[in-house]
Amino acid sequence: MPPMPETLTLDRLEKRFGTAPPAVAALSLTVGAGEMLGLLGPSGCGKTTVLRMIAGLAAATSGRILVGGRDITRQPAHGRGMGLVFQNYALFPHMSAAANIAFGLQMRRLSARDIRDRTRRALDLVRLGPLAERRPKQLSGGQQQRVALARALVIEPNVLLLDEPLSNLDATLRADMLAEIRDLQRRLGITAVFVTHDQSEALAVCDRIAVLRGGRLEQVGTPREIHDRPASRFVAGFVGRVNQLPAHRAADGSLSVHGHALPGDSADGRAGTVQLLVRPHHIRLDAPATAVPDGDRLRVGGVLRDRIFLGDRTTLTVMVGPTPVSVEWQGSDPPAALAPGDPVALSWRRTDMSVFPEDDPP
Amino acid sequence: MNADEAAEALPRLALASLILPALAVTLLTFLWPLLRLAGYAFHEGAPGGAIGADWTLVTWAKVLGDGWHHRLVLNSLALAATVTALTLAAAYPLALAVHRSPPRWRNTLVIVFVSPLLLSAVVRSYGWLPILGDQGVVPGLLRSAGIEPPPLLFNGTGVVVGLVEILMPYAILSLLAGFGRVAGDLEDAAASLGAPPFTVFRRVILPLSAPGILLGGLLTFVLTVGSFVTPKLLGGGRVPLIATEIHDQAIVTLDWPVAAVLSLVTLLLFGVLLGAYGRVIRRVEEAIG
Repeated sequence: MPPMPETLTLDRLEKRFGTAPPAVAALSLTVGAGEMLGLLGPSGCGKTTVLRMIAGLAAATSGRILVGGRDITRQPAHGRGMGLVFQNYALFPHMSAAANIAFGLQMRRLSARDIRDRTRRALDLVRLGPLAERRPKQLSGGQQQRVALARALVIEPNVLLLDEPLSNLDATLRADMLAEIRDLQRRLGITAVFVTHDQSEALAVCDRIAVLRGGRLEQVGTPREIHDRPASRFVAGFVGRVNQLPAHRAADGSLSVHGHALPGDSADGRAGTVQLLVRPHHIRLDAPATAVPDGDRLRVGGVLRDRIFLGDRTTLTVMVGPTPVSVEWQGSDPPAALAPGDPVALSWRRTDMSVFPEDDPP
Repeated sequence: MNADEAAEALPRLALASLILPALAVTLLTFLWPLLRLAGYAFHEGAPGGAIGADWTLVTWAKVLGDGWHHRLVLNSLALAATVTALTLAAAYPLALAVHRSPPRWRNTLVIVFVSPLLLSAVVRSYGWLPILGDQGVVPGLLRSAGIEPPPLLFNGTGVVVGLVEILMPYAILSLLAGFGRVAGDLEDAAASLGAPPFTVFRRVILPLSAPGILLGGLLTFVLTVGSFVTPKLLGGGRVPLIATEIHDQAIVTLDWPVAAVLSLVTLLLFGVLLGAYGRVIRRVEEAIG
């Protein structure tokens, strides 16, 4: 049986290279026991550096890393007992799949019998039993990925660290592998950190997501919190698709978008130019005549410019003044009578909208 | 019609004719002299550098039956084994450091380590005289440390030291050429799985660098067997080798048939060595995937 999962705590972790701005700045995070935390951000945001510091492959400039309360910041990589899955798998080319998996067990000086049994079980866990003696280059990308996963899991790591593990797989394989990783991690109850630049991967498999930007923590929360209540324009734009509508906020908090007055949000925030952020699937589209007034919904008018049929949904582009707004229409066809050039009414629930000041950079 | 189709449309003979110039040069400058050399070996040398007119196996019998020549071959093989081992030991850490250095440094480092090749081996061999000579730097240091230095020059030691230094650039280049599979993330993976640094080296870096070691070893061995300038200068005539003997027979004694036989024996030796290398490297490549 795997050992009890442990928490992973990063305490004001910092990494500097020379005099450049820190690659990772004062990062504090806790990953709960058995939790899968996503580290999400664009390339260069420092997420891989964070992972390498956790694994002991890069030294922290300052701050601490704790596993189950033990400070491991100064421990060398080979003493940390972390399971690491690399973007390119990093399988040993001169060893068979079974030998790759057995390597970590040999380092722990287990008996030959234990090593054989546990290697066999790990191979079965990732459904590679029949391919045990194949060399990495005789395996497909997905099979190599599963060997890498088994190699990291067989040592019963304190923490499983996954560095963009799916980026070298094609789209269909990626979805399967994503489900498999999630399933294994839940079944084994292992604490895990999943580094990715792909927001859909993070939303799909992580219990919580930490969004990094320029080495700083932008927001941490459940996928739904990150998606529905982004803390900044950056998070809103990075996680999921979002419309940005410039608007003016008056002193009483009321908003206006290209002449359409909207009842104000709670009158915090200053007056001035703001950005309204609404996700395409939160917007309802009606012909102006059929639009039913609804006190709960904010409403603006626009002109339909384009419609794209995508099978299970239709994406429509509506011009609100000079700003294109995309609207996602799920399920059946939107009103067929609506043709490009027709006036339409857009509406969304107040709670589905985020308002950010103009000076919050996207 | 694209280029591939054009190439296919050409008759094979026309394509083959494209290698004719290169073939002609090779035949003229390599194969022809080699055949002439082989020819000399089947004649007998006469005093004053003359070559007998009759075809004969006398020279072969003379050379192969002489224990002195057996010793020369064994000396050369023993020296080559020693020099190869020491050169690889000295070049390996440097080559590994170059291989692991960041790309923007790598080219500069390669140039630094290979730059000794810009100086002739003769000059570099002479350079060792004031270092290893009786009143030189190294014996001086040993004396100041209270140790009576053993003779370091005009014996086997001097030849080994000189050859190791001269052959290191070749060894570094061929090691680098064979280091393609040694990758930093494999070392990281091994470390994360619990391997301390030396185990990472033994289980991952060393096996994956085997092609480089083999290539560097072959090159160093062959170059040592073939070297005669450095053994002459630093051996002071006291380190008899097959290459120096060929030189002496051809230039001093003017017995070209004997020189030719010794050359062909050396050539045969290299052929056997290359064949063995081919077999071993194929098995190694298979073993390390």
